[in-house]
Amino acid sequence: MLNRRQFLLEVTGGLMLVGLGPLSGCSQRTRRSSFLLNRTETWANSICQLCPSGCGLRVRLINGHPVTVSGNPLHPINRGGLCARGAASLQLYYDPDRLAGPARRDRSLIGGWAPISRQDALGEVVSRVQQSLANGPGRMAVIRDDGQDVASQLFGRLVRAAGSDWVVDMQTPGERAAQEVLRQMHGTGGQFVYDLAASSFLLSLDSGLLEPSARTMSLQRDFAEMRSAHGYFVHAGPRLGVTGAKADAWLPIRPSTAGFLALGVAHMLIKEGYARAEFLSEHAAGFDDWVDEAEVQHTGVRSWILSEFAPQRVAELTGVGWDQIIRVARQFGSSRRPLAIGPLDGVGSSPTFDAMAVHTLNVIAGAIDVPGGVLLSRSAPFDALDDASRLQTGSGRADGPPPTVEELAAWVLESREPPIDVCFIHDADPVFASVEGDKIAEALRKIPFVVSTSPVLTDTVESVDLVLPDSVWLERGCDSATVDGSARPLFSFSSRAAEPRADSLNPADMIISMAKSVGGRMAEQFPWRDYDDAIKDRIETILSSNSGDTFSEEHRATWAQLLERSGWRTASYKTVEELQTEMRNRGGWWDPVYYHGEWRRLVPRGDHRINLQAVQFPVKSRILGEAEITTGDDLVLYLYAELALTTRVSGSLPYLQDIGSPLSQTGWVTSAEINPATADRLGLVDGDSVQVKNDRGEITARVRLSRGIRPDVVAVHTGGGRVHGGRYSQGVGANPLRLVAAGSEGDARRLRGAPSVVRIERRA
Amino acid sequence: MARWGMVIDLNRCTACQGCVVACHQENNVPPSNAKLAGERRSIRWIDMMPMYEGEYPHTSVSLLPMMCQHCEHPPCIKVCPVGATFFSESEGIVGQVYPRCIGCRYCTNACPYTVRQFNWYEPEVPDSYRDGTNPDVSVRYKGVVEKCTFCNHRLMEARDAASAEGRDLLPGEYVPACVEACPTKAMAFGDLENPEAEVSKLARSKRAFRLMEDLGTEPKVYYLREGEGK
Amino acid sequence: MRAGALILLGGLCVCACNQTPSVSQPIDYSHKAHIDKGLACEVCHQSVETAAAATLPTNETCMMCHQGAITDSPEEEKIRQYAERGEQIPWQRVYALPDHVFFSHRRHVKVGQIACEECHGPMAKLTSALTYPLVDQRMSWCLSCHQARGATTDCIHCHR
Repeated sequence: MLNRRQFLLEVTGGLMLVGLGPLSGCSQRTRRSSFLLNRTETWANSICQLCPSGCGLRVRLINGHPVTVSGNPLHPINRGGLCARGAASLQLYYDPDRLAGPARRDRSLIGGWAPISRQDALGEVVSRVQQSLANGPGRMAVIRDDGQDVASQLFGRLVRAAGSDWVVDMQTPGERAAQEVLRQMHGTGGQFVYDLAASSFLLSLDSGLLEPSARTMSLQRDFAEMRSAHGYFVHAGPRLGVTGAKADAWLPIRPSTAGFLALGVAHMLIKEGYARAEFLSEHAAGFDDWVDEAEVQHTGVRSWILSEFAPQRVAELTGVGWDQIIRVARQFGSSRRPLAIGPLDGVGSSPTFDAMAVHTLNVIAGAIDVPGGVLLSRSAPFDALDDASRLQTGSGRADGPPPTVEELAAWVLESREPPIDVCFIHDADPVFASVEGDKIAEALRKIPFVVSTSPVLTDTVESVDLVLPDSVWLERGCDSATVDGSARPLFSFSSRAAEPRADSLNPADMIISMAKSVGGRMAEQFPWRDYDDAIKDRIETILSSNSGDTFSEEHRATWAQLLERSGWRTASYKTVEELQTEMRNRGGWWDPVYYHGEWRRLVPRGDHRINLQAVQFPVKSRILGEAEITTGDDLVLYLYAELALTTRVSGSLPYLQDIGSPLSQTGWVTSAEINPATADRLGLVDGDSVQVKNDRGEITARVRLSRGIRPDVVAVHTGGGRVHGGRYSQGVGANPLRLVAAGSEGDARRLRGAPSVVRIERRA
Repeated sequence: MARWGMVIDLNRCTACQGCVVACHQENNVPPSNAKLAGERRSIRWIDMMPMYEGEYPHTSVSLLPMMCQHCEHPPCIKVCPVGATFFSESEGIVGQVYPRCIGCRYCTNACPYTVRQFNWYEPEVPDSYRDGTNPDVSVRYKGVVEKCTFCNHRLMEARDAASAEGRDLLPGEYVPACVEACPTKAMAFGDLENPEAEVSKLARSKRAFRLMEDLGTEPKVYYLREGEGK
Repeated sequence: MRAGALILLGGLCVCACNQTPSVSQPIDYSHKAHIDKGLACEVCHQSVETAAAATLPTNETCMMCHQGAITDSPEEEKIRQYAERGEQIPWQRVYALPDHVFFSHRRHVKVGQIACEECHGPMAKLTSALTYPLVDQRMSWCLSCHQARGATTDCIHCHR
């Protein structure tokens, strides 16, 4: 019989003699007394994995115990700084409710879990994988956060090697929409990077750029540069938020209308001659009307925008004055380096349309691939280990949009027999984070064997069969392949910083040894001995690419760029060992060069012109003019993310729970922000405990009055409402995703943020 | 003699609260919980203070990181009956000696910036957090007042190292945890007595203001106004 | 290692206040014997000039000389027994200031050039193990010396 206490890691025997109080003359002892023999202070590097930014960490250890986490000054992403999440990462390492080791689901036991030896656990996984391969190709899946680090890429590789395309990334709707823009308008993959720092006029179209996103750290730092250089900043969105708090002007547009406003601004640019004609004629296709070979007339985007998005119409749709729209458009158009950023997280009912509309606006303003504009990430010299084009799965899916976790769940539930034998879940909590969490839990229970690598208890772990806890990044070698705020590729790498506190290991080591044990063609796809070997392989690739350098100060990077243009290289290493040692010491490698105007890279296909016609496609499937008008006491629910509550690993991080929201000044609760006029109307006061409800469900929240929100909107942040978790996360707050319906937008399955209409009632 | 002070550029601050968490980690601030938060008794050495202006839809908000202002004329030290809090003449920092504190909270009431926090309860810290305690900073207990100390333990370590090597403190050798963590480099820190230091130059900027200047406390935390203009 | 630390921590019960109960040491160590042989304090208390804490020597330091028997004392034999078991000698700390005092040996010894016996008393005369502090280290005692020598009396230097 196993109780929760034994299952969870609890370090007992800690010494804390309770202070007898200052009046007794005795003093309280802390651990300082233990420095009898030795107090060794050491420093180590690591890489934060709490969000996709992958900031470099410096860890201070006293006698081998990590005591402080700060930023690595050489890391190009954060340059020594840390956001609230990175600074709290020690609380994950020391989490009292961390899982102690591998465990097998056994509902006959109290607590529901049986500890299992690592050997037995891996043995079971291996035999299940072998069985799945024997059943046929395509019967495995992995749900992960993204494919930035080697471990998650190895999971993808494992699944693709089994002939399956179900490599599911928990992308936000905004990230997915950005990929659609790249695919349809540019014909390529990669990431958009906003060169905010050099922009002179930044227009945020419900962007949430200072709220969490996949590029939080770069956006924050570049934003500060822009403001220091006197850039002008306008925020449009239903909620002021931290992003709006930093703006020079706020347009309180209705939820889900960012795309309309983008095209309204574009309309004015075209009408008043601010459209960058030369840029458009060189780099865009489908702007002007044209006649094809069959003498058929085609309407260009120009005519479409001029006819559909006049300021009065856009004013009706967005709910702000047409004079404001015209004024902002004129400022935007006449600015030297304008830049528009759309919803990064993808709140709203049509994230793809919004993303395409904003991109179209940037194209019309000539803000593509220029300083202060939208850049496209330069590729690193190495491939992702799960690159679909190199691992033929034969399913033909490789060209379309990647699968979503909702699609996986739907497929599993629709099939009579489970179509998947083995599912891995790594760095993801889909039951908590998805709109269709219940369905996903059901699907996971239907799949015969689901393995999670989570180091902590989560809502998803509740539905899995085996948990093989990861080492937290401080406890293992870790890596991350990202781009910085100037679209330059980098590869961060560090060794283990501290001893593991649980029976956990590096997931990459686990996958490699597992694949080798499976044998056959699977093992052939994993030629490395272990994680270190795979990293060495990648470092060799970097060395032979003859590009870039290890992390250095920014001014050195500029120097390197100048030299490289003239054909010189200043790299400080010659051999793989030298490069690896330097990477370990400095934090990683980067290629600090970005060339503007590489149009063959930006639009690889055809005539290297951005396809503007794509923006019209999704709109045709949507009825224009039906903005969300509410009646009576209905309010539109607007979801947003708080930086402190949006972490990749669903850990119990009390420092973050406490600071919650800087604007509403509340922690440990989920706030429902409403306008004071709305509160008057509904008879509510600040601090009231209320039920936010609609026909999908209801949640409990705390009312916060805010002058920074539309009167017809209630804003609720995500990140609360975990049913299962550690002591600092379980049962804290409520999950507003339960109030949202999933839907679809053309081909792309809309994941969340579909504007739901809700009512608020004070709890009796 | 030094007068340590700080300048926070509100144009660069993005309210990420990295300063808040870095401070709490460095200074062994115990984790809070829902009960404490409900009673508004969470310990926060540094906090984001929102200042609203205007009515909807012309709302504007400023978010100011607020910590002990280390006033030149601190009201708090004058009311302490036992000398548990003091003003360091050599450094200009308002410090705390926890075992002397009797928990009367006169200082907490006297502080016009409300940056002092009282430990109403025994801090609940899980056993597993013990090894992560910073040994350079005292661990507080029920019944004492605590507040931002400008990480003066870092200053003392730096001065110790400097004197052992027979030299002066180097610029940038002493920075509090919040300044170090700020990802946008919005915080500048240094000796206001040194007219060439970056802090001194920024503090003389036209954008610089201090909170509640009319009270005469002479705080040493300056803020640089948001918006355009040099 | 953790067990060893716990034993050490569990063994600590010295209060640095008026009533100083004595502790018992695992080995009856003679400071006089070692100092007479020419060993200076910093040979064993190694970080006295480089760190805040002077520290006690690890077993490895003792074994440098005591690998083989130097005397026929059973106390000396205990060193090798501990080493064989892979354990550190569980010395009981005697001079320990309360946790709200942050004292730096480096500052006092290297910069202040203060001799060890000024604060720790005539340790060189001890033939058996130290079980209670020879000097009562109170704040008033620290301050009197600071005032006499013109060193800082600013609270911030010792209290954090």
